[in-house]
Amino acid sequence: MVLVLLVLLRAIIGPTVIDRLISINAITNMVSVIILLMAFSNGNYGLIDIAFVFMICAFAGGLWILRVLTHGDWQLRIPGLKGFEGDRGEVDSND
Amino acid sequence: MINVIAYICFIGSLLAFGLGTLGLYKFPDPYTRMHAVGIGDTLGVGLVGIGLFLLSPDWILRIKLIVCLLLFWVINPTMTHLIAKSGLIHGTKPMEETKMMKE
Repeated sequence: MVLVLLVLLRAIIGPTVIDRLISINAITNMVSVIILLMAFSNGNYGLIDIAFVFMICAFAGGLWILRVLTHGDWQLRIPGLKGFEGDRGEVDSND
Repeated sequence: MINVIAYICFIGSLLAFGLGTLGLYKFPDPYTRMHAVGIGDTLGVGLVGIGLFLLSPDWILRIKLIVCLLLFWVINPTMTHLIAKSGLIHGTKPMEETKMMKE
């Protein structure tokens, strides 16, 4: 619990965007671990599934934040279509 | 006996999370901070999973825990890699002593 607050302080004072992103990632990891421990301490074993869903939702949310931050185009790319194969650079295709 | 091993695993995971948080404050650079946090979180979640695996009463919960740990061990390095790549694209500069590899 105290470690979550310390990481949240790093997320507040972090000078760049990357600090805030890795702080959010660490906070979600710690919260999922706390949910797992609560499931076994109360004998309320349905909370393991909640930890699952929390982890997957945090991953999807982080991916979406990175996709918005990274510049690229929003077009729908169809692989067999002509003219769309090689016009994107090496940097933009890794998001 | 099993309880003692499980509590040792819990204390080790708390130590791993604490060291990750300490590295978050001590390192001078976003990428080194990312390194510390990624390693600490992966080790901590693995140790908590081992401890709960020893404490769990039947096999359905153990199978759920194994699936959860495998999912976490896929997700967390992927997330760290994506954040680092997005930071390099986005223009966050590393420390001045960092040597970049030329292609």
